[in-house]
Amino acid sequence: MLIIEHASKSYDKKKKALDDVSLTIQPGDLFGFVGHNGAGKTTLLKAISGIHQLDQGTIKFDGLDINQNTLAFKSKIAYVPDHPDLYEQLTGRQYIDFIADVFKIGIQERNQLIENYGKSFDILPPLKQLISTYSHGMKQKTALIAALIHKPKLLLLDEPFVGLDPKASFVLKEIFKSMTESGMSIFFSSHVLEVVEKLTNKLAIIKQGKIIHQGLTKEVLGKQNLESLFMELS
Amino acid sequence: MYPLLLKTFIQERLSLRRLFGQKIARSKIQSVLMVLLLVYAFGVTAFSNSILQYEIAQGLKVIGDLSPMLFQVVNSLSALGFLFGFFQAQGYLFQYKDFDLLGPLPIPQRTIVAAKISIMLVFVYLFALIMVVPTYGIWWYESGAPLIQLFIFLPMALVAPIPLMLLGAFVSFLLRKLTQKWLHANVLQTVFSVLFILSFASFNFLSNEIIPVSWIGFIQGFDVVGHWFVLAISDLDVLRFVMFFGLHLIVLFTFVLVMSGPLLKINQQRTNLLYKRNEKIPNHQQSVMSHLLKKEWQRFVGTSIYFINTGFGILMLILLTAVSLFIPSAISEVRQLMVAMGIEPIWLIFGIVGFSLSTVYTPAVSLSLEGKNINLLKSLPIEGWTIIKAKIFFNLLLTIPVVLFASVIGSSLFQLDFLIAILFIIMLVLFTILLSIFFMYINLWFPRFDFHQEVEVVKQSLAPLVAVFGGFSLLGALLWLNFEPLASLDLYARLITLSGIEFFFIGIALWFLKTNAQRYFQSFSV
Repeated sequence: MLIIEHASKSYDKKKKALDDVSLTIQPGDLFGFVGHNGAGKTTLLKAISGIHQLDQGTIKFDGLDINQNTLAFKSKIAYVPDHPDLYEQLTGRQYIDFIADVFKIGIQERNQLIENYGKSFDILPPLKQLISTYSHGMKQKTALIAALIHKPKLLLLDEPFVGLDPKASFVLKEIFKSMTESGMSIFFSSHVLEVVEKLTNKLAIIKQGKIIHQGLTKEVLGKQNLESLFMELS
Repeated sequence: MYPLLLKTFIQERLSLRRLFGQKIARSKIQSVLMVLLLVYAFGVTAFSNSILQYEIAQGLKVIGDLSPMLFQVVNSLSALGFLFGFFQAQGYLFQYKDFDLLGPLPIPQRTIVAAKISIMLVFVYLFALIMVVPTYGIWWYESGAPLIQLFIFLPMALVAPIPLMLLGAFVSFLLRKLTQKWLHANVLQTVFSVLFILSFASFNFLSNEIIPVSWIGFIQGFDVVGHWFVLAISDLDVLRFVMFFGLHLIVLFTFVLVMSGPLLKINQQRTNLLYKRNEKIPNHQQSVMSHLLKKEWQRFVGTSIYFINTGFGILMLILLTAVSLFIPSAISEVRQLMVAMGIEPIWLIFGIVGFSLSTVYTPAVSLSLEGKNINLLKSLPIEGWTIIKAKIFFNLLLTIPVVLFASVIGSSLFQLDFLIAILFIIMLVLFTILLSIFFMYINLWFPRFDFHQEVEVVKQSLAPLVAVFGGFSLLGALLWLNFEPLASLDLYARLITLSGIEFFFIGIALWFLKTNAQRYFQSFSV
């Protein structure tokens, strides 16, 4: 379970990018995170993944504090940024092998997973090419396979559907469902409100660094759809 | 985990493709030629250095003391370490570009820092191969080439750059920290970097005047650790070997242990510069060319490594010309010496100006420095020729005023006839234009847009190497024409002929460039 309590962060000591954010993500949750550009979505995702440090507040996963048990915490999560800046002089396969080696995934297991995910995402042959030749979508797929290779208990994704082709989007949604069914948690930000509405069981809306709505998707939305709620709140 | 990270960093940073740019895989013949060219360039540099060191060794043998060469080895390794620390630390330690990728992974920060320092050291070692190894090689040869001294040298050479590399990293960090909230912070950082290097060079240059011993001798006076290096090798002193090696490792391990935490925090807290520019809103429409030139200027002064590497030649030329105004008697002596040798003094001016200009290779890298912005430029309704023209114009705006300043002062100090001076200045200006166009071709042939840090384009790729050596070759070719096939003509005729040849090649090169600019431009992709 991911517990974020009173998380605050400011980049310039004046304006708060995160302002007293508290969230809880249970095992099996498929948690959507929406907000305007610059509202604080990426900042929160980067803070959970250890890229940013909070000014105040705590982040714990399964009882492990990100600042006190950093490596144990990170070994349970995976993060896919919105624009994956991968090592461009490596091939897709070399990059995935690098991540698999970091997480000490056995050769047979990783080969099997790469084969499966590679086929599902239609990227198996291009994995032999240099990443510098990839399109944004191909980089996104490679980053996704690398993130999934160690079966994280918490998957963090920033705008995961941007750049993916329709088939890959469908596959990713199916993967999300099967992961959450097996007890893993997924926390993702998106501007595609229909996807958030249909896919998630919980959601949070962030505005100017503050969480203004959160809870079960059905309860938050009531009788409205997410788009009209979002427009109403903005 | 450390070997895995180091292997990945080496694959990423030192691949042939990264070195040569995006065209490496397109043609096998071109790839082989480029490798040969690189080997040749490195070989020539290492060989010339070896010859120089051999001559020095012969001089030192006369006084029966070769140890200054070993001092030079250890000091050069430290100096290289400092320079690489100074210029690379920002991208490798304090704001490493792959932090978003490595940050979420369960890799101990100490391991990451150790691997980052190691890859910085790899670059120092590569440069040491041509700058330092010849010195040690000659010393070793002159000492009878005992294997044991080689085995003692190698581990010490590997750790020697560490302390000053870390010091260079701190200095660069301090400069950034002091200036990051100021308006035009990048420009200030560039100015500070130039002042720092100029002060170091001046002290080096003037040390013989200030201190009545040589620079190496001065260092020898207080460099206890350097003495350990020298004595460990020359006297096979195991204790000093252990002390030198151990001390450097302690410095490295202490840095990794103590600084890993702060480095993580610095990377976690990084932000873009937050100042706001209060620039006036323009009240009239500006031409595309003026926008492009302004952009070139901002990149030039705002990127320290770019400014220092491509601007140093003109700075030195300005300094040299200014200094020469205060030493007319020395200039007069040089003039008389050259006349006695049967060489017209203008060729000395031409050599100095041409040499300096060959290092002002902005058009050879400025297109690559567009990086991913090249796609943005391609998407705009701007002709490739306009962009190329802007890059050549910018180079000429930097160089022509300095060339005029140097050549007018030079002509006056060397007492050239008025007509000769005019013809000479015309030839020099045409040479500047020809060189600038040649540099532009280099960038079109060896583009490289997929860099992480500017240093990879400005220093660690094929384009600057070919540009500098090509510039020297162009200069050499014109001097050869003057001294060989045209030797029988009088000076007026030679200057007119050389100007004519330059003008012809400028015309051909510009015509071809203009005709093919769009095709070149469309072929670029990131």
